[in-house]
This record gives sequence, C-alpha cells and structure tokens, in this order.
Amino acid sequence: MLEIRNLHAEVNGVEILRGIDLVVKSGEVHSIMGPNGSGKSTLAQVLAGRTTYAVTQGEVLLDGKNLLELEPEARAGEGVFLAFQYPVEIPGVSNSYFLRAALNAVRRYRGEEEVDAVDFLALVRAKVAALEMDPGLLKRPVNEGFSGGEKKRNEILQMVVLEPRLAILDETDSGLDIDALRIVANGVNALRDPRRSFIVVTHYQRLLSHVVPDFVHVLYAGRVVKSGGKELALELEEHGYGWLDQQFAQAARA
Amino acid sequence: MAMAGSISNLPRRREREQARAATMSTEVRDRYHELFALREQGGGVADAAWSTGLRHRGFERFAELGWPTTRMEDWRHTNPAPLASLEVTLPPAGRVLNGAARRILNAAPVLPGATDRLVFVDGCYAPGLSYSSARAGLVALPLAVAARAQEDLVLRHLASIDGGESGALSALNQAFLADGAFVWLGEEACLEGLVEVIHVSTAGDDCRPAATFPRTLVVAGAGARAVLVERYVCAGETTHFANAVTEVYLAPDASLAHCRVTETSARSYHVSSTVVHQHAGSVYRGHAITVGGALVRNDLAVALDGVGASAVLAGLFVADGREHLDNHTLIRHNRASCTSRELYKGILADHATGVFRGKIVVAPLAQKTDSRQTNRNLLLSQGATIHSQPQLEIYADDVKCTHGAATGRLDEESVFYLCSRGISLPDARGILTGAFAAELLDGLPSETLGEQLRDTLHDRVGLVRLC
Amino acid sequence: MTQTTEALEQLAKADYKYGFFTEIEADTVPPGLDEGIIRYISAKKREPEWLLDWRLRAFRHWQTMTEPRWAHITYGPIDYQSIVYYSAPKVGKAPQSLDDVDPELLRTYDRLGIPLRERELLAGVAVDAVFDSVSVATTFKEKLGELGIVFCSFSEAVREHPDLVRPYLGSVVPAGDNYFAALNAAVFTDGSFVYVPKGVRCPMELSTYFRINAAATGQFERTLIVADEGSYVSYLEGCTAPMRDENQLHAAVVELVALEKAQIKYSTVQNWYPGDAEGKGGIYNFVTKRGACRGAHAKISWTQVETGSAITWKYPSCILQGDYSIGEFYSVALTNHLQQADTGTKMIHIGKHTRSTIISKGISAGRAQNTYRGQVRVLKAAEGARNFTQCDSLLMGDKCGAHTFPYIDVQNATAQVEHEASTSKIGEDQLFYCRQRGLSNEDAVSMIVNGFCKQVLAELPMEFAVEAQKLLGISLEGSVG
Repeated sequence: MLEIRNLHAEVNGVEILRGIDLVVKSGEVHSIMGPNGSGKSTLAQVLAGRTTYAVTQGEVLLDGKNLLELEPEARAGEGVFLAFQYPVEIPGVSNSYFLRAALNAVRRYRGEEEVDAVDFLALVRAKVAALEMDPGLLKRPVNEGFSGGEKKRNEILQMVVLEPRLAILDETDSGLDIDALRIVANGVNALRDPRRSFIVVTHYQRLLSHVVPDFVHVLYAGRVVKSGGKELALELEEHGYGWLDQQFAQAARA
Repeated sequence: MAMAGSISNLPRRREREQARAATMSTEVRDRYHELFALREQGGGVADAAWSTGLRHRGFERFAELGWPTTRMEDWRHTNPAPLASLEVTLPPAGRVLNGAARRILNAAPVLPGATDRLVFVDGCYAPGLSYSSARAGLVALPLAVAARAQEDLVLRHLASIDGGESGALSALNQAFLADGAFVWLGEEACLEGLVEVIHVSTAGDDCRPAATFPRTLVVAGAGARAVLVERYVCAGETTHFANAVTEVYLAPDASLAHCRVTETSARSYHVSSTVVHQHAGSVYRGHAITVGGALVRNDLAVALDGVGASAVLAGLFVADGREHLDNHTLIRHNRASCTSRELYKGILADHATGVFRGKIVVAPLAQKTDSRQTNRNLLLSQGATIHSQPQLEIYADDVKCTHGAATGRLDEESVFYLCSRGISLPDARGILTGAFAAELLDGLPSETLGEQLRDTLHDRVGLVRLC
Repeated sequence: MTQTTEALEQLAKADYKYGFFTEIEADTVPPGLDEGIIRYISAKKREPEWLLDWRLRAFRHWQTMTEPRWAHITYGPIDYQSIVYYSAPKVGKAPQSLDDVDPELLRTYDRLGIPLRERELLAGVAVDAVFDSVSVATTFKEKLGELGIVFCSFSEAVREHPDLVRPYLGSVVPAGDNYFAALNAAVFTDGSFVYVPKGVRCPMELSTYFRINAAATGQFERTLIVADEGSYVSYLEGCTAPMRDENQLHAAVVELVALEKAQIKYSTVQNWYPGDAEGKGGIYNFVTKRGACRGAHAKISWTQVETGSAITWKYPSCILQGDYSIGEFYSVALTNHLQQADTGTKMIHIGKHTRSTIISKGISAGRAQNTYRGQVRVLKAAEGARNFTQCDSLLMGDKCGAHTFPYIDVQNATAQVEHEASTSKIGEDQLFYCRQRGLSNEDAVSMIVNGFCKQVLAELPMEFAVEAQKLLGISLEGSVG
C-alpha cells in the first residue's frame, strides 16, 4: 500500500533523511523508533506534506499514487492522517466546527456526501464517549488551553472521525499518563482493520505493548538501520540506542 | 490624540495659540542667539576650537526648527513653554565650586566598583573630583581633552546619529557644546567594575537660572563589555536648566549596561536626548531612573541597525508635588532577528503628571522581530495624572510584537492585608509602592546604586518604605 | 514563497459583487458647494428656518477649517468643488408604502441581498434604505408606531417630529466638531432617525441600508438615535457602492443619545467599494460616530465589521457622562490590496464607576495599512472608572502594515485602565495542521481569520454575523498568501 523509496529530505541545506526505504502493507502496524534527532518526526511530516522540508530524492507511493506531488489537503483526502507531536492551537475556531469542516472536506475529495450538523453531532458524541473525553472540549477552540493529554486524545478523536487509510502517529504517547495511554491505544486498536495501516513513531516500548506492531524499524541518522518484529522494541528498551553510536563509529572507521 | 475636540470654537483658540507660539518662538530664538553670540565672541569656549563648526551648525539647526510647541504630537502632553520662558544665563567657565559640589557628591557616594569617575560641575570638568583607572581598553576623558588627542575619532562620532525626537533641543545642546564625557572601549575590552559620569548643577546667578548643556559620547568596539552610570544631580532648591545629549555607538557584539539617573529638584528643568546606534549582535541595557523635577523630558531612541541586536529598556519615574515627568522612547527595529524588551513604570503622587510615550517601529526588513513593551503606572493620589501612549508601527509580517499598559492605584486588598498584620496605613502604602518599584531598582547593574535610589525615594518623596 | 502568501494571493482575486450601477432617473445638482447649494438642499427638503441656519453656520465654520492629516493614511487632495452634494431618485411624491417605490430601486436592494419586501414580511427587521442621498423606503413603520417608536428618514423626522430632533441634533457631535462633521452638518441630505420612548424595548432590529449609486456624488447622511429612559434598541447599518474609478466621499455623522438606563446597540457592516487591486477608485469613508450615555446606567455598544472603502477614518466613541454607564467597542477592520484604515474609538469617562471595553481586531493583507487608534480618557471626577482594551493585529504577507496607537489619559487615581495589544501572522503551523486534516488553503485561512475575529462577530446579531463572516472570506480573496 505505502512504498517509500530512497527518500531524502533536507531542511536549510542540512540533510535529515538520507535514503529511507519502507514498505507498509494494508492492515499492518509499523513502529518507527530511534534516538532523538534521527529523523523520525521529519519522516512523519514529509509524508504529510510539510514544505519546511525539501524532498531532494526518492518517491513515496500510496496505492501507486505519488504522494509527493500532492498538496497536504489532497494527501488527507487520499487518506493520510498525521497525529501531530505538538497539536496546533487555533484560537476562536471551535473544535467541533473544525472537525466537521475537515470531515466534509475529506468526504468531498472522495466524492462522498457531506455530513450535516445533526448527523455529525451524533457521530462525534459517540466517539468522544469512547475516548473518555470531556464533551465540553468540542465547544472549546481547537487545542487552545487543552492539557497535553487532552491534545493527544483530541488528535486520536480526529483520527477516529476521519477514518484514514494510513495513520501516522508522531510520538502520540509522549506526555500521557498510564490511563490516557490505555485510552489512546484502545482508540487505535478499535480502528485496526485489514484496509488500514499505521506508522507509529515512538521513543518507548510502552505504547507498543498496547498497540502491538507487526514490524519495528530503527531509524538512525536518517536511515533505517535495523528492522525486525515486535521483539526488537523490547530489545531497544533494554539496551537503549547507545549501541547504534558504536556501530556507527565502527562503520565510519571501516 | 490629535482627534478633534468637541468645542466648536476650537479653531479660533488654536489660531491664537499658534500666533502666541510663533511670537514666543522668535523671542526664545533671539534670547539664545544673544547668549550664543556672546559666548562665541567672548572667547568663553577658548579651549574648544575643535567644535566650532559643530556649534555653529547646531545653532543654525535650532534656529531653523524653532522651539517646540504642544501642537507637535511629541509635545502634546508636555508644554515646552515653561522651558522657553526661562531667562537663563550661562554659568561662567571654570567656576568650579568644589565645596558645594563635594557636598552634593556626598549624597551620591562613589559606587563600589567605580573604577573611573568623570565629574562635571555646571558643565565644567572638575579634575579634583574625578579619577581614572587608566586601564587598557578604556578611555574615559573629558571630551575637550579627548578631542585634542583624538580629534578624528571624536568628530567622527559626535553628533552623527540622527534619531532623537527632540530635534530643536538637541540642536541647542550642540550649539552650546563645551565639554562632556568621552568613553571609549577597545575591541573585546571586557571591563570589570563601572564607569561613572556625574553632572552636578549648582546655582545660577542671583536670580537667573543657569543653563548647562552636558554631552556624553560612548563608543564601544566590537565585543566590548562595560557598565556606565550617568548621573545628574543638583544642589539645593535652586532653579536650573540642563539640556543633555548622550550618544552611544555599539559595534558588533558590544554590550553596554547604561544607567541614566536623573535626580532633579522640584524647581529645576531637565531635558535630555539619548540616542543609541546598535550593530549586529550588540546588546544595550538602558536603565532610566528619574526622580522629580519641575519639568523633565527624557527622549531615548534606540536603532537596532544590525541583525540579532537586542535592547532592554527599563525605566522608573517618580514624581510628587506639581512635578511633570515625560519619558519618550523609540525603538527602531531596522534589521532582522532583533529583540527588544521594554518596561517603564511611573509612580505619581499629589498633583504630579507623568507621560510615557513608547513607540516601536518594525521596518519591512526586520523579519523575525521579537518585541515586548509594557508600561505600568501607579497613581497614588486623586490629583495625579498619567498620559500613556504605547505605540506599535509594524511593516513586516513575521514578527512577534506585544505591548501592554496598565494604570491604577495600590491594590486595596493588599493594603488591607498588610494593615491587618499590624502595619500602619502609610507604611503599608509605602511598602507596596516600594514593591512596585522594586523590579526596576533590583535590576540595576549596581546594587549600591539601587540602595541609594531607594533612600532617595524614601527621603525625597517619602512614599517608598525600605523593604 | 510560503504557503500562506500563495493562498492569500489566490484569495485576493475575488470580485466586489456589489459593484453594479443602477440606471435610474435622479434629481441631481451640479457639482460644487456654496451657500446656494445648501439653501437648495434645505428648500428641497422643506426644512424649517432653524435647520437652514444651523447648516449655514456649519458651512461658514467649515470654510475656516483644514482637513485633518494626523491619521496614518495618505491620499491626494480632495476637490470639494467637484463633488455633487445632492442626488435623489426622482419620484412624483414621497412614497407612502413600498408600492410607491420605483421597482428598479427595489430590484437594486434585492441584488444587494436586502429584499425590502421580504424583510418586511418575514425577517422582522425594519429597514430604512438610503439611496445616494435620500431615504427611499422605511418598512414596518406602523407596527413600530404602535409602541411609540419613531423610525423614519431624517427629513421626515425634521418635518414630523421637530421637538424630538431639535434638542438632540448636534448635541453629541457639534456642527463644528471636526472637518468632515462640519461638512456633513452643512450638506447632509438624509439619513435615519430613531426615537424609542421611555421603558420601551424595540421588538425588532432596526436597519438602514446605505447605497451610493450616482457618479461623482458624495454621501452625507446623518443618523440620530435617541433612546429614552429605560428603553432598548438594536440598530444595524450596511453599506455598498458601485465600482468606479474615481474616489467617492462618504462623510456621515451618527449621534446616539442614551438616557438613564437606556441601551443602544449599534452594529455596522461596512462594505463600501474598496477600489481595485491597484488602489484605483473606492470610497473615502470619513465618518464621525459618537454616542453619549447621558444618564446613569446607560449603555452604548458599537460593533463594526469594516471590510470596504479605500480609506476608512472612523472612531465610534462613547461619552460616558452618567454614573455607572457603559461603553463598548467591538471592531474588525480588514484591509487588503491598497486599502487603508485608521479606525478605533474614544472612551471618555466622566461619570463615576463608568466602564468601557474595547476589542479591536485588525487584519492586514496585500499592501494595505491598518491602524488602530483609540483614546481612553478618565477625567478627574470619574471615580472608580474601568477600561479594558485588547487590540490584536493579524498580518498576511510582508508588504502590509499593522499599527497600534492607543492614547491613555488618566486623571483619577481610582481608575483602572488596561491595554493589551499583539501582532502576529497566520502561523505556518496552523495552516499545515488544517491542510493535513483536508481543508484547502483558502478555507484554512478563512477559518483562522474568522476564529481570530470571533469575539467581535459574536457581538453581531445573528443575521449580520453570517453576512460578516462571508464578507471576511470574500474580502481576503486574492490577498491571502
């Protein structure tokens, strides 16, 4: 479904991604791990179409379609969803208004009928309840004054409502307490489906014990240096990323 | 604001005012012309041949601009007419009253760490009261002496920044330029301790107020670092008029903490213009403390002319009786990625009037500007007045600019809280007023100076309790 | 170029949809201004002697005055002798009902989205429509009349209710107040008049729709609203004009008088023709609006959404004379292309415990200049006065300017005055976030802008709020980058 081939990206002339290759099939959950600065978030943002990063080489295909040629909103229409590491505040725009506008924009893109206010409210209320969110958050401006945990849950709410084809979770687990982590994980698991894929970017193993990945990739200095099954995450948890530096140093000497 | 008033006969009144201002302007110009001619011909500035050209250009400019009037937006809330009507005289050259000056200086004891001190009494250098550390990388000399040794250096910088708002009065200072302080810092000179420049005003003739025109020039080389304390004090309750100009040049990455302290008697007049020109990466910290004065007007203009320069302006003005204190600041963000922070606080008691006008201009080139300005005023009594005008003028889009102004009285609840703990009402008010001023006094680069000023506020204004 | 700039630029290409011109027979005087023209206007309106005298005094005074130039706006000289000071649609006699109104006129209002007939029947909004210089139709008059509410054209009020007009005319904005107010006092042709009697709560929104149609005319309407003790009225004002290459002058005066415990809510959606993308043409909107809270506990609330006009120069103000009286100013000013706005308010606190709130949102795009200028003045007697001011500016693109010039003058120590201002641009982060969720760049910008203005839009009556929101989107089209 998703194919990333030899992807290079840079910001201000500094190369961050140095040739990423990754294939994610329908229904799979891939976890991307790696130390700070390895390019995990950059990869997530590049997939979503952030222009801060310039793609210099490579291609990204979603169901055979070249994502890199599409504007961010068209990628969303194609089913790419990014749960932001730092969700953005939009003062004065209510959360529910925003979500409905997004849902209808995506539906229009797909040639589906728009959802009216009444149906939308029914739909979103159920999802809010499932995520154990305060329904009051729907009326508040998007992410404004939300706690860290509320923001992350709000991202998951948007994901659940927009039902993407490919969901990219960028450190959605950071800043969550144990209960919130469980709720977020339940939200993700409820959405697991043979026609949907996930890329879960994280530092830690703890989210992965709730959302069990099919594959784990280790990103280091802009490349995937190691791939494996879910046990790789446990290994990393135990040994940290220090060994990568040593390996890298050896590689450099060789 | 220049918005129309509601009185329908306003135009006629305005015409009358204009006519009066024009007559006055001519009178003042003639008076100063007389003084100027007398001085230039009488050889009163014998030692200052180097500045003859400057002085004449200064007078021409003054004559051209004329005395300011309240019709000018810059002078809306401060009527310059009382300044114009002062029948000033120039103190005779060389009249150094060491005794009197010493007494005054006792009230402003040497600050710990003051390695260099330049004292001027009624505009004349007082060698007996001054001293120098003769450290490498620092020159702190009277302007006249410096000009003899380094005429090029002095003339290259003196009066070369055009950025002040008080045009005519700065020009007048230049016309009567005689001596002043010259502070030069060599490249990478990082000076421990501080440099003090003190201007003492004693008295004029029997009844005519003396006019002095202090001048300070600071040139800091690349990467230099120093602390400068500039102080204006006066002797007793006599009337005098000081018209000061300070120019500061900061080369790339230079850093200067500059305290400008004005303690003026309730019968004296003080106007000043400080202009700061900053190159890339330089840092200017301006502390402006003004205590009292019949009429005080301080202009401070900072031009951030190099990428990544930053300015921090902190001001405190305190007045009582019928004093009138006016502070104008102007920060020009001319290049990208500069930062400015400004906090000015006013404390006004009795029938005093305070004016704060702070303008921040962000030029089209100045993307990534980060600027914050705050003005807070405390009115301690029913008759006190404040005019506050924080202004933002922004021509670049990728900027973060905020300003805020708040005016009010002491928080009743806090006063009550203190009283309920057994503190008398005046003490409670004093403590809270002191607390209001504290962040500005505590922030001074010399702790001793902060303590001295607390004492001054306590003694003179009687409002601030030590706390 | 950033995404923001691109989107803004695409948005800016939208057209001014009210820019049509209506072919209609009109009574028009030759251009120019002298006492003869003023006498002609006054005679045409069958005005009493006292009003003619008042006009002439204003005119003579105006001749001694000079145009104010302190605002942060630039424009070429205005030739006051080339302006037509009176243009009225020709009608045999004054319209008694909508059936007497020229159908062409009614169609014009339909195209503007002001179907007078429908409004009369359905919307429950009473409308006074002013076409060029004269009021052409006032709806719902009878129903309002039952409650003793007077809502009619200014000329009619002068004729029918002189005792209500005369004591208040010029009592808030004196004839010689400022250059443009004096000009208006001399040549004003019509406008609306409202009187709400003691204790009456006006059951519907009163609305005036202003339309400049004829070429080279100035529009000089005058509105006077008097709310007697304990009454309430909400008044809406909308404006449009045809697209023309030359600049047209609009110099209106609005006076509000709120007596004890009375409340006046005055809302404006100003969409005069702003000129084209190159700054050609457009209305000079030089307007004096002021309200006086004369009695204790009176309240005047101004809400404005300013998207039109080449130049806007207006400061709806409140004179808070009565103790405990309240003044409010909520403003959105949007400038695009080469538009200039210098707008804000004056809150003059005279009475004890008077309160005022100022919320101003300025949006600047293209090469426009947007200035907030506001004065908060607390006089000596205004014990316990309070003001809170918040001014936010949003910049779109790097060729526009946003300026904030508050003037705070406090003469009473018990007053509490607070001013906050901020300037920012639409964040790349915000745009990307919206687009990642599937919204187009234009929709994202429009959503963020509306969110930015929400506090002000919330003050508008529902019907107007929707219109204003759309207007904000349209006005930004082609500007947004």
